[in-house]
Amino acid sequence: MAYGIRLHVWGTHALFTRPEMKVERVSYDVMTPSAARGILEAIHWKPAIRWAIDRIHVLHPIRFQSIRRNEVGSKASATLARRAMHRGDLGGVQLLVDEDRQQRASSVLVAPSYVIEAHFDLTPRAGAEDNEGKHLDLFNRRAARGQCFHQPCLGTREFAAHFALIPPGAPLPERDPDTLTVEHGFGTPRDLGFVLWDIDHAAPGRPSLFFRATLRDGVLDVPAPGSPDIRG
Amino acid sequence: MSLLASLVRAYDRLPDAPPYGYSAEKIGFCVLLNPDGSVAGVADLRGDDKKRSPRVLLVPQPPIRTSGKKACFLWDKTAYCLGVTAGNASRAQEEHALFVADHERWLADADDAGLRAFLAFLRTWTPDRFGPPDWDQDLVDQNAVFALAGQHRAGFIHDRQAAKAIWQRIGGERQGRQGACLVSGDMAPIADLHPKIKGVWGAQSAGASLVSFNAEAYESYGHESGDNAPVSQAAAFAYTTVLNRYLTTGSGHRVQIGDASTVFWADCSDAEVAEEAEFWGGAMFGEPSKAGTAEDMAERKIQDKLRAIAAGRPLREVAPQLAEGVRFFIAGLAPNAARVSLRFYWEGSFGTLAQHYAAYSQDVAIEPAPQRRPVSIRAATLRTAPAELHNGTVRYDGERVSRLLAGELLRAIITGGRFPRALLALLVLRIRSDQVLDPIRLALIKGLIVRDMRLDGRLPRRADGTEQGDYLMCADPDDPNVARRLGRLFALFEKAQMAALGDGINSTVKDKFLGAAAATPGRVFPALCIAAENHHLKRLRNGHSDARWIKDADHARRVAAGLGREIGALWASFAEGLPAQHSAEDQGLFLIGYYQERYARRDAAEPGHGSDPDTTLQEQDE
Repeated sequence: MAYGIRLHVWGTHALFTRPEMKVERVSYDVMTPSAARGILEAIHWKPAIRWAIDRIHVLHPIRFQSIRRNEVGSKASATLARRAMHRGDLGGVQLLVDEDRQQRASSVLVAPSYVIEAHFDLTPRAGAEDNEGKHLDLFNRRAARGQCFHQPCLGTREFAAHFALIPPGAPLPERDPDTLTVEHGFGTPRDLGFVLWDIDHAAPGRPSLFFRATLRDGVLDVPAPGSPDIRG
Repeated sequence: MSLLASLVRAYDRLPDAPPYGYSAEKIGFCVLLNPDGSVAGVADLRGDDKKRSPRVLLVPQPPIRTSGKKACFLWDKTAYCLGVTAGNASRAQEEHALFVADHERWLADADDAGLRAFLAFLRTWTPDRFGPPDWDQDLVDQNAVFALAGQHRAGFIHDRQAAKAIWQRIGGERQGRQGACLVSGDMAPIADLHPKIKGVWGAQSAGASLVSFNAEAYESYGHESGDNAPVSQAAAFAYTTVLNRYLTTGSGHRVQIGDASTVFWADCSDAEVAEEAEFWGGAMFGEPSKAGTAEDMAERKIQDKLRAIAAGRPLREVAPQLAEGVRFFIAGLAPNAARVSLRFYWEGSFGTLAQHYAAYSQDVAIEPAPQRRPVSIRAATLRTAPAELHNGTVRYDGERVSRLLAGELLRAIITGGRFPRALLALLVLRIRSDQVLDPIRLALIKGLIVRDMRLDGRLPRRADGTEQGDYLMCADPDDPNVARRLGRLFALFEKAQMAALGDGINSTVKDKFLGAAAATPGRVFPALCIAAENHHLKRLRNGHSDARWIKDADHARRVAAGLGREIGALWASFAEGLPAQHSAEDQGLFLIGYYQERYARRDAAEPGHGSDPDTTLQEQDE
């Protein structure tokens, strides 16, 4: 764990959409590893490194709220955009939101707060000038300054994530006393069922990978890449 | 666990669960066949009740029909199996042709007597034979099953061993791509479309999907339909089967909360204990059971125990068997277009639920009490609807319940969290517009304020420094809260007016000024005070009154002196000035102050006081 980092993230709301409930969106109880990876990549990522999430600490009680929002029923078409690029004319590339309105409900998490523990590995694309120390320094410096390539978010873009680096050796932020319950895995571990680990973008068909998530004392342990616990 | 995973678990414990590949469907009649395929007769399977409800039979699971035509195996609606429909005849012809062609293929090498007879029937049948005397016109568009004449008591054709074997094979053929199931984690054939959920209030009557991806915006990474959320066919079958079972009316597992069809179930190693927990759940939610039935008797017993819980006795004492090891699940399903959406989902131990219920009951407890038993969750959510007059009683229309708010209220009760803030504003608004000071509305306002105060640490403290846990429960003339005292003062003004002018007057101070006094006391109270002193109290002091309960001039003077003293003392305590505006919470406190002064001491202090038509203290149940 020489290159491990710890990042405290929090926000007003979060929505880590369950794949089976993604139309009328319902959030997972806890941040998914892929959402955590997305936050780290927003702060620092290069093709030379690959982030792996080790564990996620849940600092605030898991609370849900339903909201209903106006959304759209279609995506902007990539084919049309490509055609427009070739043609050099933007005609027809559009998404008229008020003609394609849909009202959909979401169950979102309220006032989430997590600590992400993660490390990175060098990928085959790492060149001679890449080494672990350099990227670790880069990440720590950027995170401490609050720099990011894009605003990291808690599951979906509209729920922005605040973040703060926890320097090595520093204690974790204090846990909300309301989380010290069975619902957060204190006393007996809480089974969260199968949770999305990540999407395998390299494999044909981009299958989803799942793992059996268990909350123990408010901490979710994430299997390492390639672990037999990952199904898919 | 996710909703789907816990439903799949519940399926495993369902006592008479339909096996995989079969489902319970409503069947109208049975066609009796001779071994040569000719029709021997038709047996009506419908019940004798007024609606002539079809019988529910276990049949091979129907394919998921969208716009395409697909045949069921050995049963179907008349359009498919007989080519007869009241609707589009040419479509029925095509459907029947498909039904025949599919069965020719499926049953090609069957050598069972029943299946051969069925095939022979399909080859010889023509839709024009449908008619009297054998065929009743009522049977059109019902579902039909088939049986061999003389053997239909032994079982239908789809129940025969040979038919089951073939159905298993066909099921195998239909299997699709393998993938990791997100419910079980196993590699299994993935369901493309999920079976429909029926019985969700407001959703399409043919059923709607809980898991579906019917527009481009719902698909990710180039996945199509079921691939977006890989659920195995077995898991999809299990969760829909059990959900459909729970959603059936009278299943003891459902209750309607606003627009959310709410299902609840318990999980315990001991099936009897689980059943008891579910029964308790029904009573907490306020699922109405018919008076006089065995359930009603049992429910009364549970109501007694619920009262004990609401009074703060631990579940361990009241029902020790439920306190440990019982998991409880609650899911609220709401319709949205062709989908069913999950409005909320809660799972936890039954002990936690009982604890939250007790906290809720104590929070909403108010004197004078709305009713003897604790306010059920259903009754509470109904109060977000506007009050309507219906045959002389006040009613709340379940269809006009604020949908999102009712769901959030339910969530707050179940999880023990804060009540939605918008609820307070809404209830104050409702009272302002329809003037119905419904005790349950007041109880909710009180519960919301007290819970907020407790969570914020704002509860007033007693002399010994402890929190006043029962704050707002009873009328309290010594409470220093300005809004609450103003509410009390307002009730005294009204009392003075009623004493001076009698009960017969057209509109009272309350009718005209309740809303304004609650929201902007600074503008209203000075004028009210002058009116009370110069008109109502003066009239009483002069020995005049139109109120029938005032016996003579002396009595009137005594009443005036008493009221004048109270009003004077209260008015003097606002020496620092009246608040110009009240926040929603202050308005709630004002209403509580008014309500408790107006109704709490009615019996004790003023016997014979005329009753108002709107003092509907008796329970107005749904």
